[in-house]
Amino acid sequence: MGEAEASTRREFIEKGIVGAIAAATTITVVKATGSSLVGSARAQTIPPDAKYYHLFPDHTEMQKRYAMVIDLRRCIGCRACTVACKSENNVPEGVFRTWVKIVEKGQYPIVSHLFMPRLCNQCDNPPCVEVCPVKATYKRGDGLVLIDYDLCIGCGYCIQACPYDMRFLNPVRKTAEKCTFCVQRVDAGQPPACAATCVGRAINFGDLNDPTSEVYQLVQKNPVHTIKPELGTEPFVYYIGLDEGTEFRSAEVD
Amino acid sequence: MADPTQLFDVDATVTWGLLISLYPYLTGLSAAAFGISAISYVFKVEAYKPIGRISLILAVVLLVIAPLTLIGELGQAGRAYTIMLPDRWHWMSPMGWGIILLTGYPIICIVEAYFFFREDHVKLAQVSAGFKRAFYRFLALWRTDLSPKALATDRRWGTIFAVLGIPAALSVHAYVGFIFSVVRARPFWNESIIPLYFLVSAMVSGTALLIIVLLLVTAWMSKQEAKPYRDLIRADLGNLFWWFLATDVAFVVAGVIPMFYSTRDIRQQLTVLLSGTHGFLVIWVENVIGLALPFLLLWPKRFRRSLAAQAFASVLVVIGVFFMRYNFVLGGQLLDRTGSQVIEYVPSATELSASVGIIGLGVALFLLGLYVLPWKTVKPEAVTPPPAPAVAEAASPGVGK
Repeated sequence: MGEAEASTRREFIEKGIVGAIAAATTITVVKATGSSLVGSARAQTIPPDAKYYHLFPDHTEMQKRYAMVIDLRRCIGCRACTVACKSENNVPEGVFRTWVKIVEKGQYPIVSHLFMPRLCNQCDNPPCVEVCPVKATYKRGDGLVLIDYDLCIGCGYCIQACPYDMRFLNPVRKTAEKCTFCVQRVDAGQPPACAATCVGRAINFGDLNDPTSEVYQLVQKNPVHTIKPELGTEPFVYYIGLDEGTEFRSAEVD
Repeated sequence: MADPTQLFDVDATVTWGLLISLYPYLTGLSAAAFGISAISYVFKVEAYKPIGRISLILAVVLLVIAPLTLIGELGQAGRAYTIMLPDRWHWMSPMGWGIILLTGYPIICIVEAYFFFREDHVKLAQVSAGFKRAFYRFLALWRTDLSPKALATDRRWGTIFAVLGIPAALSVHAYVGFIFSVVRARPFWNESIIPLYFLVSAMVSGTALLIIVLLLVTAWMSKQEAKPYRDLIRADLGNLFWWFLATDVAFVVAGVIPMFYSTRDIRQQLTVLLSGTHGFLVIWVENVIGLALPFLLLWPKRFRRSLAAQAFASVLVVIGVFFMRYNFVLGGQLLDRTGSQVIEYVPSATELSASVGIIGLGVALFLLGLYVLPWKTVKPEAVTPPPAPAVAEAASPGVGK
């Protein structure tokens, strides 16, 4: 190969790399602006009943984007949400779709109890949906991540893929299961059982693409926090007043 | 700041247990066995000719039993076939790639074996009678033409399928690595080195298993008959084994060193991996006894030529690599992702018995394969039609003698 030819090739490759980087940056920027919680000018065209198995659309393109805001300043740790969920969704013994993690911080007399209701984060970019080998789990056009129990083969891959340990194998049905934001209630125009039963109104549910909704206003007016944002899952369960020690891997490993 | 004390959290459980850790082990052994048969069938290395067929049989048997571990672990085993339905198949899931590979790879192996075994199947059919004759004619698919032209066709098509089989064998194991490495929720699994590391340790364990199998089958042979196999282990296969071991050591070092400098999640993972019972399995069984010891033992060429040393090292490696898979699959799950507890896992009696059953089935199938199939090259004297009463004997698996 001649030197001139080699140098053209190098130039070509360099240009290609620069171009690729530029393209990638553009895409990232677009994605980042798109997913900012401030409403964007994008057309909200995705109907609530659309189904996605991969290449998930951004929430700003959805007509509805259900979300939950959990105000931990108002949580008293009564676990009524756990009970309501169990009875609404017929969750078998030994497994839970939602529960309240309780952590004790400090030492007497400077001590406090911290609560953290935990449930499926209904990610904008759900890792569990990408790995399902039979398209049993999907993301709906309104942002809910659901499972078709008649298709699920119970391989456990989604359970592994969930960064929040929110999926489990239903011991009775032998398929994967998780919180669905009580899809049956939401479709009937009611809030999820946990939000409906929450005595302190810590759990708030609504459409984040609707500026008049309570969740939209809570998210815009308060510092909010999602769990494991570094994984890029973009959860749609927002916490207000979440403590670092409550979030993840607080205690030491012996 | 003192860490808060956890008062309540729902315990996470281990979803993928012993059976799932057996799966990458078996596919790895199969891929490696196929790779070694390819040295004979694709690269036409004369020294590897005697083991081309036995390693092909081994590869097929291992891949036939491997998916059983998956089906055993499914919640809805009856729906396993739905992965293959075109409208359900999900291109983004590594399990979706797996179903194509798990179906395609054994087919390639069997077609390859058909072409390379056909000549001997026809010859066996010629010297047998009754059911046996019909059986071997079936194995040759009733193509009994033994003309040089037909044999050349066999060789050509066999080689084509052997060449196709190499990427298939590599992918059928590498995809298993991808199953784990795409899970970003598990920091220990989510490493790009994993599929390659799986492949390297698969080559190590597969070579070790083949050495054990060869030493076992040659134990029932006359000294003269066993010579080509033993020479092969002493010279080529033993050397290859050591170089695979050396590569594996390099991968372990390359994979482990960055872990000590890594993020909180990985460091915590490392603490879990290196403590308690699991720590014993990781440090001693997997790495010291299962990897470092055989590597150092076979380092001097003198030991590489000793069959006893090769056998000892092979047994250690076969055990060590199994625990590598076990520690990898379980180790990734032992740390609860939401809370802070370390999950205890002990294989249940069902899992243990299922594993033993699947391996037992594999051994049985392999022995059946050796009994029925002409895995040794048939010598001309066995083919000359013997007197009638001896027919049955001649057609028995000893035909190769």
